[in-house]
Amino acid sequence: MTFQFGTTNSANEVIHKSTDLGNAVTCIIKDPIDVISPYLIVKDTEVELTDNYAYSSDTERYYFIEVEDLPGGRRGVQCTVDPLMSFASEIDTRDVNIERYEGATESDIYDSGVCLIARNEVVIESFTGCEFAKASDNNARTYILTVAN
Amino acid sequence: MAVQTETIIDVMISGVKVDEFGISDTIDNYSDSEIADFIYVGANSRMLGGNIDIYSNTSGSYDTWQNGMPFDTGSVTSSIMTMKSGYGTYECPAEGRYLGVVLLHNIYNNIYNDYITVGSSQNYVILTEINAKKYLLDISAGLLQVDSRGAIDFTDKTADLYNPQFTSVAFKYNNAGTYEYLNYDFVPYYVLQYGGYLYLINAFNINQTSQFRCSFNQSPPWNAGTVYNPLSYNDVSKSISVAFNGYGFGTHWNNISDDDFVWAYGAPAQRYCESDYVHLFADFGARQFRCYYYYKTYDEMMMMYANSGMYFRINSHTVFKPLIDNNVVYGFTDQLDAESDIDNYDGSTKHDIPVTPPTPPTPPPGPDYEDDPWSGATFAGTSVGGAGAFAKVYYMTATELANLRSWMNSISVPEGFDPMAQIIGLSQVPVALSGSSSENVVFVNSSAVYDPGVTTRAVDTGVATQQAMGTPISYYLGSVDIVRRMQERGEPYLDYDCQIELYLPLIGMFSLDTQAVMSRTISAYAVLDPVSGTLAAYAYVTKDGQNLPVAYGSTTIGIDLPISAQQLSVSRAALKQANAQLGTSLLSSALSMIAISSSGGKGSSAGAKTTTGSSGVSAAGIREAGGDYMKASQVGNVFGDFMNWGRTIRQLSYGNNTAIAGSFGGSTAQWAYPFTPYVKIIRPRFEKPNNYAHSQGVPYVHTKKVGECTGFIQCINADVSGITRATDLERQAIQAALNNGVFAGGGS
Repeated sequence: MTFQFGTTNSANEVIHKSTDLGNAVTCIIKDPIDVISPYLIVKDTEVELTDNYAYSSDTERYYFIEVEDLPGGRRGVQCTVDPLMSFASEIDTRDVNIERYEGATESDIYDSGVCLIARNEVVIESFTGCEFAKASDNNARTYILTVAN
Repeated sequence: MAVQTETIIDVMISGVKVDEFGISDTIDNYSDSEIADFIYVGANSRMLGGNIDIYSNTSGSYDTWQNGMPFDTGSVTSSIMTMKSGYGTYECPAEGRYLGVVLLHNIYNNIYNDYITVGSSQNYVILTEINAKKYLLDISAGLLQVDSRGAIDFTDKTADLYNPQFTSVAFKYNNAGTYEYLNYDFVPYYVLQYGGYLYLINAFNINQTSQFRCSFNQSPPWNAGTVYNPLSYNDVSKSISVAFNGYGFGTHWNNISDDDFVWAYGAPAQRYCESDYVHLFADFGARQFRCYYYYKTYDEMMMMYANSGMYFRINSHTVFKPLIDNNVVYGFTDQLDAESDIDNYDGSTKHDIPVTPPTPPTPPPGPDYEDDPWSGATFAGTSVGGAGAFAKVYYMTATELANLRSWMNSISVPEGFDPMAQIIGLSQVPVALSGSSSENVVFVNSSAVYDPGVTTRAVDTGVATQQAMGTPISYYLGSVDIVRRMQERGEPYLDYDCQIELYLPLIGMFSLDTQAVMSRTISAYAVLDPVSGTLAAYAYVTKDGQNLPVAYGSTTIGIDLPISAQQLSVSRAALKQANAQLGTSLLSSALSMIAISSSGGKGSSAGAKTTTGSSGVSAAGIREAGGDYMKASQVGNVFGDFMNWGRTIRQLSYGNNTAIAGSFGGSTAQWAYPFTPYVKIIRPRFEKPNNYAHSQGVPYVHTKKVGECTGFIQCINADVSGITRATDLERQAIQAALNNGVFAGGGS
């Protein structure tokens, strides 16, 4: 079974990870054979201790890996399947109900994640164009005299 | 000093135009003072032969320009006229249409070897290639007048305006007949660096903007990199005179005298202009000020002032509108609603200048009430007083009132006549009111003995004042926009967590329904019934073309003044009686309509008490006497009791609005409260981490394909059953990841 070893700098939660993988090499799979978390034995020249990612065209899956030295110029590679990357194209086609989204804008939905501060902001905004205030400029006064007619 | 010409017309000497300045005439015929400033040969002038001698006041010698000076229209060869001192090389290619500059009196000797090039059709007047540049403008008593179509440019900035003694530069745009050249791109530029006067004589087109700028750098002594205020030199403020030959406003000069626009040293001080239709404002940030000369209302001018951050005093704000038909100005009018093509011009102020006070809109129905209490209500009120009424109302100033008091204490009062007995009400309101006509205060001497020879019992006091009908007066209280600030700050939903309170002048505070007013404009009107002293107001928002009331109420701002100890106790009731007879109560005509379908609440009537007056007319009698007054009484049921009032607000207004404080009427002391409405907005404040949206996302309840998203998404019970290639365990892992949050579209 062949694997490509290399690295990824993407976070585990990224569906489409960026990878830097080498050439495919043939590996020995330690029993029991498990497509989800296989353990591989390879030559120490074919995988680096710093490698953290792998792909197998045989299983059509991406794996997170941990590499360890073994006696006799060999290295053991513990793989754990990355289902997000392995089935990224299928995931992309899924219709899902999204409750939080980085790209959301102009939402009037309450966000419980935002912390409110106890002290509110208070502003006073006057009306503009008030004729009544203008009529009272300069302490205007009018005396209204009502007399019998 | 001699000037000899064959034919010169349109000659100006020292600013005095002299027609038919004949061939044999000489400047020697004029006094030194008359020629002290400049010699100007205007457009279409010709000077075929002859000399102009320019006297140098420093050397006492003559600097003679000869032979066709300043130009010979017979030798048109290029677009440039060159005047070259001492060399006799003067060419005028363009028939002198835009040329005709002869000036430079009192030039120092250094100019002798220099020359000036004046452009014509190139839209420039260029003073350049002047070796002794700094001396050129060392004109102690001269005026440089340039007749051109475009701009003046002193190409050598280092020397142009060196000497602050440089006194004047004038531009003149000839009557070219078309004005398209005068636009924003062809503005005269600077010139006025270190003082002196600049006369900008333009033939403006309507609704165009011109500007001239004052360069703010370089002021003697030179100091590179240092910004000086060129408008002042040695702490002496300079003046800028701007005169407009307003094409759009007639042929007369709308002069703004030298003192009209004074730039003070340092920070802008008070500026003002007295032009009726031209106003200036400075934009100090851009180092320029502009001249707008399309018509403006006073309010618009004030708005410009507000926007510019500059104060200028306008002594008169009469505006004239050019009457334009087919691009021809055929007159001017102060009737701003008159038909004119100016209203068709883009960018003009168009026809939106109100010439009459705005008519309050009819309050629309509240949204949730089938039995619409506002239906048919018109808030402006109408006067139903006047003929047949038994009382007369005067609007008096304090001085007029004092005059009346003096008359009442004088021997002019007819014997046996008690004017105090005729006064049934005296109150004051805190606004200036204008009556319907000027008239003396006239009493009726009811005790006069009948005499067939006397046809009237009127007693004219001779005290001039204004008679009024007591008609309700409508005031626009202005408006305020309730802006979604929290949306601007990134948390839109918090806009609806705001608390919004409204203050209506002297009436009270209202807690407004945020849902009803957020992102809308609150406008308000008030109506004053001057006779009863009642002020009623309402505020509304506009939604889908409907004006929806959010708050309304009334108060009493008219304060009774004591007439005598006895009459004080009864005057109010008597006044109410008079009101009933006049039928002018605002509430009777407007607010009562609000209450017409209301069963009424508790409390006494605020707008029309039913106290029995000294006349003995009972409250019931008053009610029966006037149906309108009955309505006023009903209004009192609505507004009289504060608590009921609050409940009524909630029931009748758009949204869940509540009166929370008021009212402020009842005494003159309460006039200290603001007369302008305002809103108090209490907004929440929040904190959230940086990169919040990227790390946690923001609420978003939609169905979408994962592949259409970019960045953080968190799903609700994502369905991944369709991923058949994965094992159950893998599908569970994918679902858990989607529900807990993943980054779609790669990255991160």
